[in-house]
Amino acid sequence: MKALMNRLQTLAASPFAVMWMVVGMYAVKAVLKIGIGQSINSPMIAGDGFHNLADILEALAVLLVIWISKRPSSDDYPFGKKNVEFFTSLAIGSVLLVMSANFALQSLSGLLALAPSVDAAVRSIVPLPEHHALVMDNSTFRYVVALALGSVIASFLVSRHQKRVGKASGHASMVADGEETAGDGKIELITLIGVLGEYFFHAPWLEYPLGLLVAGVIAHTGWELFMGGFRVLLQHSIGVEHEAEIRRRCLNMVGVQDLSAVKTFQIGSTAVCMLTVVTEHNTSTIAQMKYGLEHTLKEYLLASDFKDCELHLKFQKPEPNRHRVAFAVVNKDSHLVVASTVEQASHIIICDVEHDDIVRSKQEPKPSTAELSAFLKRKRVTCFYLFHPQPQAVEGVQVATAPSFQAHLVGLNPRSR
Amino acid sequence: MEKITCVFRRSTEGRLALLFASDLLKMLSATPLYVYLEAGRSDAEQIAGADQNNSVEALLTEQNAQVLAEVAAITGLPPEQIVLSGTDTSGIVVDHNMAFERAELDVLSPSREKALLARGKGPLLVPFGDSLSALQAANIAIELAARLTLPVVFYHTTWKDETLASPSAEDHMCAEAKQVAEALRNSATAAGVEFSFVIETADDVAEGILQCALRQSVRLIIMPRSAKTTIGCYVNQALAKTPVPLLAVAAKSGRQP
Repeated sequence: MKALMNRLQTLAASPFAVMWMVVGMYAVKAVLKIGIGQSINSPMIAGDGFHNLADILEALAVLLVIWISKRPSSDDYPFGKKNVEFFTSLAIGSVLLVMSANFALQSLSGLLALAPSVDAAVRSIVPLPEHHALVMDNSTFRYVVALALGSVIASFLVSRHQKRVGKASGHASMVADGEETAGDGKIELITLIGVLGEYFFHAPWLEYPLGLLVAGVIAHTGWELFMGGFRVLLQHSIGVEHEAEIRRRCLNMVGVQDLSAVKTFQIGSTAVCMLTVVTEHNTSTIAQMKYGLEHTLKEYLLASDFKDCELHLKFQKPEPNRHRVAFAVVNKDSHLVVASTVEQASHIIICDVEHDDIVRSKQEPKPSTAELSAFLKRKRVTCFYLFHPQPQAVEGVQVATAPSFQAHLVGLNPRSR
Repeated sequence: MEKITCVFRRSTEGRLALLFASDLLKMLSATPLYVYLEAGRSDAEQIAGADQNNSVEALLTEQNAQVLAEVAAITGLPPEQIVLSGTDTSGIVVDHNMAFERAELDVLSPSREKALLARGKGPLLVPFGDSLSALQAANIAIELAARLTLPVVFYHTTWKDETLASPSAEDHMCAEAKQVAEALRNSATAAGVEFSFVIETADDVAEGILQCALRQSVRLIIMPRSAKTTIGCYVNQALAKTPVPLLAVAAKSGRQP
């Protein structure tokens, strides 16, 4: 018994099983609606039955798409063929938009039929579809209500399950088809309201304003599906809010100085993020940062609507802000001290500075006082240091006080780790 | 955290260490900031002249004034809250280089971070093994966590006991490590600090510690040095590649658990 229950649960969660159930539901609906619709002379019910036949073809197409999307990736398709799902979103979104326009026109023509003179005036300008009034008697009422009510319940239940399994398994086409099934359910509900309105209140017009409302809701769903597919197929970013959170999480990671580029897009239900991280750390530390970034981003993306994520992290150093400074030094027996005055100095040390650190220095013999300015300019020195509270000026070069006369404290003679 | 000392170095890492240390002091409402500055008397003698204005003493005084002004400008602390010191052997030293060079001191390497909580609040991590040295590190962590209202994560990685089939890493811990864990639990509970344990069987101890720190958004790792380790010190391994600030607690600091 337990094994049977487990098997049923597995079956209920299988996208293929659910889609075959959808095919079955539409087949039953189509047979009943076409049969009853023709017997009570209701083109609306019979037409809905024919529409359900088209739904069967759509569900079979979704089955094919799910099968294709599950194909493994290859050299030619490194991300697999998951994006095929979004062609279905595009198609179903378009179908829903057409369906909503058709339903809105039918509801509008039903409303116009209540005022024949206005109806005739409008029809003389706009070619509206022919309005078919419901033909029903006491003997057929219960069958019609049972059919409409059963269809509504079946549509909503199946749609809900379809969307849940579609989201859980990451099949956008199944979610889109679930939305389409829900749209059908809403139209069926309006039909039911029309039937009940006619029978109990002799007010079949009730269904028409509600029909317009439902047409609007379906059009909204259709537009969202269409745009969702459109964005993914054209590799639109995964969204401003997601990117803002990705940026926030990255900047919260120790070692990250900035993010110079954030590019995201979606393939199937996989989020792809290409980030350029700015950091001053070395390679062995970057390996740890990469682990931390991948952990936090994966945690976020999987908790959002994505089933998987691909992270491409590139690390780069910040702008080095390269410039040159110079120190006047006394070098006696290989012992360096920053000089107080130019006269006191024996050498000039020219330093290349990157990221505010001296990365290379070269000791030059001190030129004569007259040649010092030209020498420093030729070496492209932007600041010349002496250890003196009021250092003597050098023409054309900024002169500053070194905070210490000890060479290692000002960055000369660096002690390596 | 009775005394925080920084080493004056005119470099990016030196500036970041000063910022980190002064921020820590501000958070702890503690003053002053001690700045270690070698006097450099022999250097001063090289450039001292015969005149009074350029004497060794005048040069040393001028150096102190310049360093004080620069430290005040970097940290934003008023000069009266900065003390230049010629000794570095007590309290916690905040410096990037000394963490590698002076195993006998408690040295906090800021790992190029500007402040402890610059990226938001997060826990402190105390790795422990089968030695009681972890209790010294835990004491510092618990005191800091209590003052800054931060949680503490105690981390342990163990080798798998091949005789056990249990998938739980905790079951593979040796008896001594379990005793240390119990002592840590008691200390944290007594201090009223929020804490948790992460026990795992990581492939590499230093990487296991760092990866746990990154997963948990840890703001400071507090690691005890072992007096017995001769080769393969985990503290040095972690220091070499950590992006998370790390306080290396000396093996013989005199701090009793």
